[in-house]
Amino acid sequence: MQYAQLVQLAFASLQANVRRLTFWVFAAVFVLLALMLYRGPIGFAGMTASGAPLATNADYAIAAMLAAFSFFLMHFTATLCGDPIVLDHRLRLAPILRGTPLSPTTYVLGRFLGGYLSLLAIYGVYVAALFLGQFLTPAETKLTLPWRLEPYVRHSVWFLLVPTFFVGAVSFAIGTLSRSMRMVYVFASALLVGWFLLLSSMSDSALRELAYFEPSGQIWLGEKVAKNRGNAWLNEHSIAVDWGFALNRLALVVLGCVALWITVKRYPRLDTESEAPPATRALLARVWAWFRGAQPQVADRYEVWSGHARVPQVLPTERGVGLWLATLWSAFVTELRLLASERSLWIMIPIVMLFAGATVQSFQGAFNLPLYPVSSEYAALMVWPLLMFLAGTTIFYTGEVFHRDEASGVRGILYATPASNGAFLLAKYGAMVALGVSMALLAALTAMVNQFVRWHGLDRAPHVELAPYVVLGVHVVLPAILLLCALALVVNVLVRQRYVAYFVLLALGAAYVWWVGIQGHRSLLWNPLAVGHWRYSDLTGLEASARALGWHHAYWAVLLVGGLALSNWLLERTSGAVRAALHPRAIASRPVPALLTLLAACGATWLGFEIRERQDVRGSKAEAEARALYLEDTYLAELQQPRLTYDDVDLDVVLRPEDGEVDVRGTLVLTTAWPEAVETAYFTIDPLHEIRRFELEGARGPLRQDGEVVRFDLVRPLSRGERVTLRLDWTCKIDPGLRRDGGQVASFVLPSAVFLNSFSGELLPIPGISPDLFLRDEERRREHGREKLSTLRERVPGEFVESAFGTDVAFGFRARIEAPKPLTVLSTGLRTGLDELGERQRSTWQSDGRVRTFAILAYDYEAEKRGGDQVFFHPSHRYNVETILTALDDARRTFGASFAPYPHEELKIAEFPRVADFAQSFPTLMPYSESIGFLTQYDPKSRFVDATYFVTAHEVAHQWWAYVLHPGASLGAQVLSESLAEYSAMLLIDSKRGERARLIFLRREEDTYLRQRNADKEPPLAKLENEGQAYWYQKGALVFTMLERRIGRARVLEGLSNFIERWNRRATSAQPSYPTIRDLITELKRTHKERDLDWFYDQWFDQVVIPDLVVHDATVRRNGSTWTVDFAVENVGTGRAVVGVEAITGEWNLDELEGDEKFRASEPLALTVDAGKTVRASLSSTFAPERLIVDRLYECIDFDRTNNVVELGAPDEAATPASAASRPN
Amino acid sequence: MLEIKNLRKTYPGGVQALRGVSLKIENGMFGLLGPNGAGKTTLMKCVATLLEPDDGSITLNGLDVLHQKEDVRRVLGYLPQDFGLYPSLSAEQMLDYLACMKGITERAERRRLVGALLERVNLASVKKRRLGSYSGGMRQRFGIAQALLGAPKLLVVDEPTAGLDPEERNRFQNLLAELSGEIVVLLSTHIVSDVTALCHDMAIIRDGLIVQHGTPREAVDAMRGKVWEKIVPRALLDKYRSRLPVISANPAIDGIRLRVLSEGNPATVYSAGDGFVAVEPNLEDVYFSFVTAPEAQSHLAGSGSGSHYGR
Repeated sequence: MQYAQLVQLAFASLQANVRRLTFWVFAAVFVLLALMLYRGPIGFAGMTASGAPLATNADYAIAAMLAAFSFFLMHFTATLCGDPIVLDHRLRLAPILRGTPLSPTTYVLGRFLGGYLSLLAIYGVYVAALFLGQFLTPAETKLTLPWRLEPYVRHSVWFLLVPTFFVGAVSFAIGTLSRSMRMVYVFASALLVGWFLLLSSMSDSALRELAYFEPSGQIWLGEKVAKNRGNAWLNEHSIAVDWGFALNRLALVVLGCVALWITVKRYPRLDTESEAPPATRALLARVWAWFRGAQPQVADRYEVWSGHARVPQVLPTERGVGLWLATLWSAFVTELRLLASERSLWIMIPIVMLFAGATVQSFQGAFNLPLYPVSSEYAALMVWPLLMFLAGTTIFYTGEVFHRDEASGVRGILYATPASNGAFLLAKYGAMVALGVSMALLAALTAMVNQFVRWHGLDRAPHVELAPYVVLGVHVVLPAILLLCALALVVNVLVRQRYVAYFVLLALGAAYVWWVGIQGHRSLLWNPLAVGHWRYSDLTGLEASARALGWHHAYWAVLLVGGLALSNWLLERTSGAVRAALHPRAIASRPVPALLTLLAACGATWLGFEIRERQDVRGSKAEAEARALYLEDTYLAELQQPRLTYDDVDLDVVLRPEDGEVDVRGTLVLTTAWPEAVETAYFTIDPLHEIRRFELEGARGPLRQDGEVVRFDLVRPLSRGERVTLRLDWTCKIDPGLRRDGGQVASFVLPSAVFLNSFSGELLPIPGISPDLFLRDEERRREHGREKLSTLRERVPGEFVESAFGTDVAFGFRARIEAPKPLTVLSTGLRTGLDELGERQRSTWQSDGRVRTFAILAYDYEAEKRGGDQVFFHPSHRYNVETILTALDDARRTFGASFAPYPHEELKIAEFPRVADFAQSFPTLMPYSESIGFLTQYDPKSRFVDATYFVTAHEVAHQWWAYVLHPGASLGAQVLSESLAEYSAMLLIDSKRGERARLIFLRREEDTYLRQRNADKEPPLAKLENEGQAYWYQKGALVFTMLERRIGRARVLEGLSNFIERWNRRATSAQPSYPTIRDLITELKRTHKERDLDWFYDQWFDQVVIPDLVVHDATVRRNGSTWTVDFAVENVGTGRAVVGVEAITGEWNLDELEGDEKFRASEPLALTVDAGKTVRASLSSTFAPERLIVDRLYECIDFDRTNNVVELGAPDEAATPASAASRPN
Repeated sequence: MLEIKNLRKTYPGGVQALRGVSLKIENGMFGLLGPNGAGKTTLMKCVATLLEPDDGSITLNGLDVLHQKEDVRRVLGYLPQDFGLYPSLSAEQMLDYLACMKGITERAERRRLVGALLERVNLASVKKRRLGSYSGGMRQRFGIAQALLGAPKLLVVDEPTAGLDPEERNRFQNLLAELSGEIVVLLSTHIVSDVTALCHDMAIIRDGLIVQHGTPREAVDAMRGKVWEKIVPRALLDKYRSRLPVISANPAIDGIRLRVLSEGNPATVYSAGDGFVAVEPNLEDVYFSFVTAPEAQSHLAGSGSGSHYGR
């Protein structure tokens, strides 16, 4: 090795790179990025969270930032490291260098080191900027700890130096050996795509195991360091690298070294290898030759050249459309030929197939269950990942295609021909579109084959429909490809430099994802891919949606044409002619491109105004937020004022889904439940509605409307027991076609389906001021300088508490609903009549008993009935109907027996056909989405919860925990509905599916809670408002399960039953009031007066604690046929844990349906372990125990269960104490 | 006829590549001689519609080259100095593609033309092979073939014989000579013998200016009786150079063969010692006298001989 030359070569490369403008541009961008982490709007991993923000210079934050930074800039690393020798060949410098005494090894390693040092220099700038950022005053929402240097150095080694060395070395090997940067890009893309797919397809538990194999270190940081930790903990603690992670880093270094070693060995032989005649090569050698791009030289037999062949005089065709089309076609065919000869594309094909296959395989429904391979699901869910993938390949290949002529030296010859700019550009554009379409087709084909195979695996006839793929391809994928290719081409033409064009396009892409995906500004005007604006059903039940999509497509098509025309106009075919092209004389001589550009600009402006007028009827997101803040400032105080409530609802409803409209006429009787009289009656309505009549009896004057708020001053204050009548006649105008901002669907009136309910403001005015009018999102509020908005408060015992959901008193409900014939209309209560009206039909609905909410749902359903239980579903989604019917029946019987009789005759489950992603329970009617239960595929042998059965049980439980027992509007109200519904579903699973199903359910609940909780912001259950589902679903259910373990299930059920009875009586009394979480606790305590469990209620309802048990010092003694295990259990977490400890033998594995026959467990020993304490104890077994396990039956939430098991040694007096690894909390 | 008037081009870096070039070029072969960096390629690119000059005009048979680019391209054949080809296409595919780009859209005609051209440049036997597998000479021949597509009226060939072996150069010269009857062939080169062999008219360009324009014969005749030769010891070369208008100094077996431009015997005129012999001038003497020893030309101009700056 020539060390001096090696160093010289490396530093020469470094110097050459440092002199490049691009180097400094990137360095400047990285500095800006680093400084914005301290001062700007860029947040990272909870840095801007309220409560305890993650410090920008916390040990964990530094590691996470460097890990993400080095990994997501994969292409940058690959480019800098993969290019050096490719560049030498491109510049024809390599032969000169190799003609010097420089050894090939020195040359290869020197060039690699040069590229790698350049990379480190740029990344070093980023690290230095991160370090210096510590001395800035942090932004108000961010935190900077006292300055430190060591973590930056340490983590630069683990998370920057090592992964970039791996990526760099492999890229260098690929680039050098193939002499093609495209191969390098494909490698980087494959690595990135593979990484995302791996992550998205992994279950939570698999992710934990993957932590040691994943190259970026991000999974390790997430799973082994940050999981369940709060920012406060992360701010205070250093990251200790464990052996597994150290081995991971070592493996990357070794792999990088192997790549370099192969390069050093193969590089000197590259040229000689290519001279071997291809026919003698084995297949592998041919592949190797193909990879290297080797082309055997043709012998030049000039001795046979006569040089006198007669060349015919063939003149060019006269100008015209025919000539233009012929040149366009020829150029297009040539571009296709050139694309087909791209070696990298042949590698891309399996990547696309892998990507498509893995993407559809990774689709999961509720509770991580796979979905049945239905075409609409496959096609719809694949669209966005596919488009993201296509965006990347389009950006890259358009750059390659556009700059190919220049790079290969053909441009001079081509541009000197009379072929028009349009032919050149459109040919390239067409080739790119063809490539995109081919990839999309390949992906669709892969998905269909996948479907086919999976149907076979399910022992069902394959049911692969082409229509969903075609519909989505035509409406979404093809327009997106057309737009992406055009954008990429325009940027390349205007920017002219390939790498700058990549940079601009990536920046545009990132800005788009940030603006549309993260900020949620999804106006069609700025959303070329219509992200968030459609679901599959929008496209199948076209009409209104088609109109909206049509406007969108027209708008972007005009912009596309304009962009292509602009490219045509400004294509720099003659060097230095761009300025000249803008000269009036030049425009006059070639007016079409300029005119077309101008026309397109005018057309797009006109269409933009039209779309804004027709589609963005709710205004932009900024306008909506400003409005919400105005409403909050004006009406927040009214939330606490007495309000009216419905006492009787009688409606005539005409559904006109083809127009996206509903006509409602009604007579509504209102009263109040409040002790104080109502003087001013407020209603919340949808301001889009066309009001014909809105008259309140007893009001002084007509209504006064302020957008969403309608106000009446009453002539005489209305007291409890008094009633007034509201006469209503309006047309609900649901947003035309595609929904605004692509937000969560509350109500919809689409040709394919209708969903309306009584508390969204579309069907009926909501009495009082709806808190939904205000800006609730905490992040957005902080952007506007507002504190967290709390609309609930803790209530004083004896105080009147209004209802949390629905109306303050139950009302009678009658409705006559007219709809087009193919639609089956469903509503709350019983259908008492059905009249034919030609092409339409009218059904009459009446609630059997009083209700607090109602819904109207319409779809072309198929129905299955069993007694009063009914399931309405999409005709081809019959898979889980039997399970749903069973769950309905089980739930009705079990809950009826346990809590209170079910007050209605019917229980109806209806499918949302892909128009919503949620489940919602109304009295007697429970709609939920197909991915939640209708298409989830459950295998009883699996380690998952049966989502269909569970979700049905949960929604049925709401018939009791929302409608029979109506929670009061107080902090913790969600516990009285969601936690109890979740707990009730667990009861049903336990009683009908057995212990294993219960334990699987509890394991999932605990895991979900620990993953999703925010350790710094978690409120106690009794203070819950709307902070997160993991608290009210998972933690709530776990707490009631723990209570069950303390006082027994019978007492819990007794308490709940009494609670319902007491408060249901109160709710239907003349002086209604509604219960709070305190009332529930009081009721539960009544069932076990003899035992003091105040600590339990205090700990789990009013505090936030998480015990973490560690078992250690376990030894076994044998005395005849008895084995005694001595051990210690330490609680390194917070709060008190009451658990059982067992000695076991054989395998204990919840994931196995058939348990180990040898499995035996000792009688559990109950232990109470307080936080920070260690309890030493002994237990006996009548068999030789192999392990000691703490809390096998999920009796207490445990932070980390990996420390709950310890292997026991041989049972003799000299047994060595065994210990589980301890860890800090 | 190609007429160039007062053409100027300054690159963004400030380099003045053309500083008012004016030329009138009749049908036939026109040689443009000049050293590297003289502005030859810039001038060729302007004529080939690929570079926008800052000032001046170019007309071809009445067509305004700068503003009627598309019309000019229909009658233009262009072989750039440094060009590449799509390595994955065969010669036949690529030539067919370029023929179509030149406006030859009738398929049968195009095939016939492509076949004949490939035959003409001796690539017919390898027309199905990928261009990436061609040698340098084969690629250069392919370049010539493509330049001849569409019966051009103006053929711009920028240093076409660089890299060709003597045999191929010879054939190429023959090929160009055959073509140059009815059309304008603008041949840029720094190989003087190419111009000698082929061109009936020529110009020498240096530092963006035409420093000589005329027929090769005129240029040579103008120097007749003024070129003197002497073999001098290598050690005295610098001394001679400093005192005499040396136009070339070539190594010889017994020293350095000096060629000097002088109205009379340098021994007399410059007191440079005996031994100078009057020799027959050639085009290389003309080229070197303008390019490497301009002071010699200015000396002659001062004594009344004069060179042609444009015409």
